[in-house]
Parts: sequence; structure tokens; C-alpha cells
Amino acid sequence: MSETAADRPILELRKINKSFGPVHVLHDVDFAVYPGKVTALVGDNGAGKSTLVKCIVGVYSMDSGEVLFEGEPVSIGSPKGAAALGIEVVYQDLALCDNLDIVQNMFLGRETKNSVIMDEAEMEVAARKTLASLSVRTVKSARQSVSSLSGGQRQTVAIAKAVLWNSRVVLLDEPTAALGVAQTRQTLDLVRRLADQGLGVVIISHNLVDVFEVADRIVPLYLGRVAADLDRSETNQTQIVELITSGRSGDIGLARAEQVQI
Amino acid sequence: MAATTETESSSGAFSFDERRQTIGSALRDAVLGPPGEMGARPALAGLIALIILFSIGADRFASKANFANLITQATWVMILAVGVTFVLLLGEIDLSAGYTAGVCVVTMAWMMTQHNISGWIAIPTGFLIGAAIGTLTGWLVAKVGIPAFVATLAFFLAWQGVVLQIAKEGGTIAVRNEVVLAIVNKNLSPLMGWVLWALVVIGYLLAAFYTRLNRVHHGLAGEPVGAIVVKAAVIALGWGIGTYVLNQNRSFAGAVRKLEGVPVAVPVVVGLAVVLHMLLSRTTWGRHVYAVGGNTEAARRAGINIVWVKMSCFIMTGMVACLAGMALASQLNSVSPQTGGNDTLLRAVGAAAIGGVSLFGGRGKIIYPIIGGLVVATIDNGLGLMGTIGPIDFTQSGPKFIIQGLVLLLAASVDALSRKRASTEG
Repeated sequence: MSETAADRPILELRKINKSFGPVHVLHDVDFAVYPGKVTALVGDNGAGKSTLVKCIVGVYSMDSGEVLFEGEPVSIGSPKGAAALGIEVVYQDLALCDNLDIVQNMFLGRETKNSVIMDEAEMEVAARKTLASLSVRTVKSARQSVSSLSGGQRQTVAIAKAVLWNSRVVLLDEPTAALGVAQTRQTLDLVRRLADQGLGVVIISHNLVDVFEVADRIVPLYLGRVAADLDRSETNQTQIVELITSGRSGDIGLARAEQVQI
Repeated sequence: MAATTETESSSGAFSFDERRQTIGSALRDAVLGPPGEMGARPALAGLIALIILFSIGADRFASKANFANLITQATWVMILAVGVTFVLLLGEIDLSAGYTAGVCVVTMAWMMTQHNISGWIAIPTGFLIGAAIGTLTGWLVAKVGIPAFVATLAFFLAWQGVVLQIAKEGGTIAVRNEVVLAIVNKNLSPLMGWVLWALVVIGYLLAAFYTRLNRVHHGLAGEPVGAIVVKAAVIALGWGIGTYVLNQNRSFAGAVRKLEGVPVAVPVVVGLAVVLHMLLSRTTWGRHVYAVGGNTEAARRAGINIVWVKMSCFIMTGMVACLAGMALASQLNSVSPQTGGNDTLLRAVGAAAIGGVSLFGGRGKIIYPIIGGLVVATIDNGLGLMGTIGPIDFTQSGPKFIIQGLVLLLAASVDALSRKRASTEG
């Protein structure tokens, strides 16, 4: 098969290692994000999912390893550096200011200005455009205070904030953990739409039902190692559960010796 | 399940159908405010109720002379309350702001009166001291990480000592500087009073129409022209009546000199309020102040320099406190070791809270502490004129403090309850 743009990873991590003192959290992690695809990062508590995300966006520095963005080696030293490349994270706590409205939250820290005065109308137009492109239907006004929004609406605003900046890669940390059934549905639809727009989407989740519904690729982490990198169509929930809990399922996964070593 | 019903009920609604406001709905919003955002409305209602109450209960309350008195008495409270609003917006507190005012103004007076240094040097020096104190407090709170309550409690004691050292125990330094004395003691000429009135009304109209034009230009719904005109008319009428009354001669019958005009304190407070309002609502710095007060972690992740934002708010409080100190000195024509002491700070914080500035941080506008300051001053002034009713002598400090305390408690309850309502909505 000839290599097209969609086959080439937009973001690729090679042999990432990270230790906190004596604790070796990430072992030779290889991880790739493809444009237009949703990659799910799954794993038990303490498997290293959050650490990996924080390494990607420069909150933590890596001990060793290589990061390629669109095939070029890059060094991401801070969340600002990640944002400059178009890599955005939506954290589980969403990081929204309740006392500000939707537009103010979406532009927080990156306000549009006419010399010194903020251009509120310009920001509102851009925010509404982004929200409309995500087919957000449940929010009445872009000037609504975030304190008046439901959990699902907040999630939507946080995601919209991440894609406002022509982002290329969006990482979502447990986006459905705190949501009800209908709101989970909306959020998963939104995640799918992000990928359909050509973004590389990474979703971190415990919920395998959600993962199988939305992800194209599934990467289970087991004690800081990538157990496998599977296409959704060639795997099933039982296999993923085995990979998450033991790092191995049938003939795929980590070699026995490696497991013992840990 | 709540989530399900919400989706069902709103699925028919078009996304982002920004309410095209009619004049009626725009004005209703102006009076009642958006849900959960009471703002200064309870304080404004309270102020009107107090004015009616005292006009009936105290015969000298509703007089021309007392109207001017009330404004000049309220000046320092309003200014200091505006000052502490910046740290309150962060969710912090500055207990030392009262004595910061004291240190600034006692230094000013010491330079001018005892060392004959020109006001051109002494007054800027006072503001620099305010800024320096703010920098130090802000650094200790934001960078070193000392809780603001403790850091400013320490400075509350320390600055008190500094004021005592400069003024000497029991000593009073007279203030003769024209500029400082003018704040409370001088009046604008009747003509200038009307010029100020015109500036306020035209300024409001320009600001409102500029915002509307900018929004309409971007294809957004603007505030209806009718609503802007009605609001401007209300401001013009209210301010006009005030100006008219203050422009009448209010000196005692048979006095040689006429006493008329809008007190200089009014343009001072209005100018301060307009500048600081613009800073808070129109600049990114102001936006970041609200963000830090609302969710510090979110602000940090948005790349906002938390330390700088916090420090700058303390600096702002320090500098505005200096102006409040000047108003205090102007009212007393002197400074003493008590300047900025006693209940100065607590009244200012109380005024801000009564006006609707949330002590939890992140909520409040510059107009709130000004309305709150007027409430505090009105209670003080009105009770003083009530005289004795039954067994209670309202001119005494005891009943005054009790009533002010209860009003503050009421305002704090409104703040807490409206937060609760806002968080349970939606």
C-alpha cells in the first residue's frame, strides 16, 4: 500500500523513558497519533497514561526518547511549546473558570486585542464559529457563564477551547468519566467529529465501551510499557482487558521475560 | 436522569441562538441582572431603602448640606473599598490596606509640613510607597506563598508602628497642601458640575454605542438602541438632579460665603472608577485577574503568569490605598497615628462585600465597592442624625457598629446564597 498522508503519523514517540527517582514509570514507549484517527490509550491505574500525556505536552521532561511531529524531530519543553505545534490537552478537570463566560474561557491567556483593548466581538465570532463547526447544539449563548453549564456542556467548551487554535493533535484525558449517558453520547460524537475534521485525537479512558465505540486504534499500557498497538477491527474487549491486566493476550503483548523483570 | 431530560428538551433549540434582545428584555436584564448574577443590585436596593428610611426618620438627613456631607464622608470608604477590591477579586485579603494608606499619607504630610518639601515630590512619593508596600506584600503572598491573611496581618501591625514612628505618639501633623485638601473640602463651580454631568452622560453613550457598533459590525446582536437611550436618560436624570441640588447654595442662612457646587471628591472617585473599570473589563490583565480569582489552576494552564497577576493586584491596592489616605487626610485636615487605623480597613472590606464583590474571588466590578461605600457612609450619617429613639441612642458608636455588622452579614448571605443558586442551576 502506498503511503498517504493519513498513514503517516502526525505525532510519533519513539523509545520514551521516564523515571521519577527510582521509579521507572515509562519503559521504551512507542506511540503514534495519526491524523483523522482516534487513538485510545488504555491501561490500569498507574500504568503511566497520564505520565505519557504530560511528557507529550512538556509538563514533564523525558529521560530519553525521540518525538517526531509530522516526521520532524522536535523537542517540546513546555505546554506553550506543545500549543505552538498545535498539540492541546483537555484535562479531566477541564480547567475552566466558572466566573467567566464561554468566549472568555476559550480565549483565556490568548485574548485577541486591538492594541491594548480586547476585541470582544472578534473573539465571540471566532468562538461561535468553532462551536458551530463542532455541531454544538445545546448551548444557548456564547456569552453564557460557565457556572450555568452542565457537565457535558463544560466538556464541550473545554474541547472547543482546545480546537479553537487550529490544533493538529488533541489529547483528551478521561473525557467521559464524570458524564451521564446522554452526555457521554454527545461527547463521543464530538470526539468522532474532531477526527473527521482531520485532527489526530488521543483519548485516555478506563471505559472500554466508550473506547470501542469511538477509537480507531487501541494502545494498552501495562506497567509503563506498550503492550500492543491494535486496530479496533482486529481486537475485542476481552483481549484488551487481558492486555491491560497482564500485558499479554495469546501470542500478542509483552514477552514473559519482560513481565517477570518488573 | 437530569442529563437525559436536558438533552431532550434542548435538542430542538438551534445552537447559539443568541437572544436578539428587545428594549424590554434588555432593560429587564439591566434591572434584575442575569440569573445568579445579582451583582450590586441588592446593595443598590438597600441604598435606596436606607435613603427613604432616613429621610422619614431623621429630619435633617434629606437636606442639601447633608447630601454634600454624605458624599464627602463616603469618599475615603469608596476609594479604599475600590482598592481592596483588587485583592478580593483574587480571593485574597489585605488587612494592612488601612495602615498602608496611613503610611503613605503620614509620609506625605511629614515631608510637606515638617520638611517643606513640595507636594509635587511628596505626593508621588506617597504613591510610590503604596506601590512598594503592595509589591512586598504581593511578593510574599504570590512568590513566597505566605497566606495573605497572615502576611497582611503582620503588616497591619508593622505599618501601624511605622505610622506611630513618623507621627510620634499622639502627634498630629497638619496637612496644608492645596491638592490634598481640595479632595474633600473644595467644590466644583456650578458650571464645571454641569460639564462633569455632560461628560458622564456622553461618555456612557459613546461607550455603549461603540460596543454596539463593534458587535453589529461583526454580525452579532447588539444592545437595542432604545435600551441604550433609556439607560442614558436615567443616568442623565439622576446625575442631573444630584448636580442641580449640589449646585444650590447650602451654607447656613446668613453666612457670608456661598457654599455651592459638586464636591471635588465626585470627579476624583468617578475618574478613578472609570480608569480602573476599563483596566479590569477591557484589558487582558483585567481578564487574567478574574481568571486567577475564579480558577487559579485553569489560569496557570492557560499560560497566565499567576505571580505577576497577584503581585500587580496587591500593588494596585497599595496605590489606591494611598489615594484613600489622601481623602482621609483631606477630611481631617491632618494626619495622626490613627489615620488608617481603627475600623478603617474593615469598613472598606465591608463596603466592598456589601456592594457585591465576592470574598470567594473572581466576582465583582469597580462600581460595586462604590455603591457599598455609599451604603456604609449612609448608615453612619443617617444613624448619626436619627438621634435617640426610645432607649437607643443612634448617634453612639455601639448601635452604629451593630447595625453595620448586621448589614454586612446580610450582604455576605446574599453572596453565599447566589453562589449556591448559580452552582446548582443548569
